Amino acid sequence: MQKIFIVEDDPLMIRMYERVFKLSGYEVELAFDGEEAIAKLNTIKEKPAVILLDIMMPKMNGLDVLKLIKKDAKLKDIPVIVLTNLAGKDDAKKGMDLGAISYLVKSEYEPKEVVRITKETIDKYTK
Amino acid sequence: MFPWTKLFSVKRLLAQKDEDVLDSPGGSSGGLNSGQEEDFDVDDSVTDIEKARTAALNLLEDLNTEKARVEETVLLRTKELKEEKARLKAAIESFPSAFFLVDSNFKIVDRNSKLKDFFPGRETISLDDLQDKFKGFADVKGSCSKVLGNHMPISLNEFYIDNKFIKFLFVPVEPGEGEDFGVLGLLNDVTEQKVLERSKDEFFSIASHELRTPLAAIRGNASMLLDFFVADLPNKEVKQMIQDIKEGGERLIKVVNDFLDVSSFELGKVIFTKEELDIVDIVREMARVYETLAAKKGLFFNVKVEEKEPLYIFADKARTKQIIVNLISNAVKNTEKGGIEIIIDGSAFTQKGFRSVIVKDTGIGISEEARPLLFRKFQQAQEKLLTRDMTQGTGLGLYLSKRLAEAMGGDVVLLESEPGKGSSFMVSLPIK
Repeated sequence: MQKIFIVEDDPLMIRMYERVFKLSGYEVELAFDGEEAIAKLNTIKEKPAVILLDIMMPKMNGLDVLKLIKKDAKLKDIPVIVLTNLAGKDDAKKGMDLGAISYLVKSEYEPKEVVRITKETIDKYTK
Repeated sequence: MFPWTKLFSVKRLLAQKDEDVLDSPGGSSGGLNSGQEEDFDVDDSVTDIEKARTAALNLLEDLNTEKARVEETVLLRTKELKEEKARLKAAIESFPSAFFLVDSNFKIVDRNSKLKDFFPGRETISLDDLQDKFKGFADVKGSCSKVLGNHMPISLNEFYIDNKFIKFLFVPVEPGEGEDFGVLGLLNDVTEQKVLERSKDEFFSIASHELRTPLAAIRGNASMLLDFFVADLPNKEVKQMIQDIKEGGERLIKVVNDFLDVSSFELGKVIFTKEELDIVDIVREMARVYETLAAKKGLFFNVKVEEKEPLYIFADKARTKQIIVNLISNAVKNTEKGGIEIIIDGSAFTQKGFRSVIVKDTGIGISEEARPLLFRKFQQAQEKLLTRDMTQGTGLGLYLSKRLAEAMGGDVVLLESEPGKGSSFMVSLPIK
């Protein structure tokens, strides 16, 4: 079963996305802030197929997490989808410039659309 | 006339003079007119001397008068210059920015006291001091050199130093007679401005995030109930209620997006990234979404391209899509029978240098009264709040579409409309 790594601090969003990915047949690993995300990614045995990354989070924001992921040889090839409610063009550009595969505004996509896009990303980037 | 003026012979005088000379050692004919007798009019001579003396005295008096006048003028002018200098100094000191004036020899010839804030305890500040202080942030000497060379002002990017955001401005100073160009340098403290900008950015980020997150949860969970748990729902009514929750969430998301978009636009925070776009591709992509909705309502939905493809415009992709979506969604929303036709670039109204997209519907149309307010915010909010033509939506869509199009060098207009028959809207965007 493919693993989805979700980095998200909001309980409403955590429950919704964990539920939809499990209902869609995926295994889900969660981190509730940026620091926990980096710590878990470095210790996790089986690397996730994709990382879904929120931006506005306590302790370390998603863009800083993305920078660290892309600097780490063991993690940099894991595709990252930024999943946020920051809808500014500037925010999107920052995410894409840092190496995100997609930038999705949560309120604009139904959960199953997020699953569809995630599946397409995994198919494209996982050997 | 001198008191001793009398007509007398000078002979006696001359004779007396000769005697004096003969009596003096070595004297011979040193006398004036020895032995000669001459008569001349002493009175005339005295008169001439008198006249000369009077003239000289008059001239002296005139000179004194003139001297006094000049002295008074000089004193007055000196006073005026001192006052002017004091006013100029006060004006320079009252500048909110640190100010310095550089001559063509790269020497600071004047400055205000605010410049000392950057050099505490220093009385004299040179251009080299400024160069060293801001090394790595601003090339002060290089900028002065450029301004002296091309006589054009230079504004440098702001930078952060000494807990302040600073911005340099260098302006050429026109020379006076016999003088060279100089450079006026200003250091503006833009910290407050930056703080305000940051506050606005933070407001938008936080408002955007905090409004959209719960809405995403409402819409998302309603969707998931319908996608994954419909079999568990007790009846159709519950399903309809969940549909309504989802639709309510979607509408609220749109309202939030519209308000944030308009605020963002009005604060000048919308960034346009213009590129060459195929307008046909964009229209077809956006139309696909609404074709299905139109079909559900039993409406026809056609896209007609009247010129040879591709048809390029030079605009921001996301904002172009936003405008097209607004026009199409309005058409679908306001049409109950008939359908929608989208015509690309076929209008007689298309101006040279632009591509146009016309969205034509057979919907409710727009009344005469509503038209003047059509592209204003909240449309008929002022007069007919309870009986608006469009009872759903914020009335910001057309306002925003028009503003966005204008910002990209184009426009959105109502071509024609008739209540009960339908409307035609046109968006025009520049080719280059």
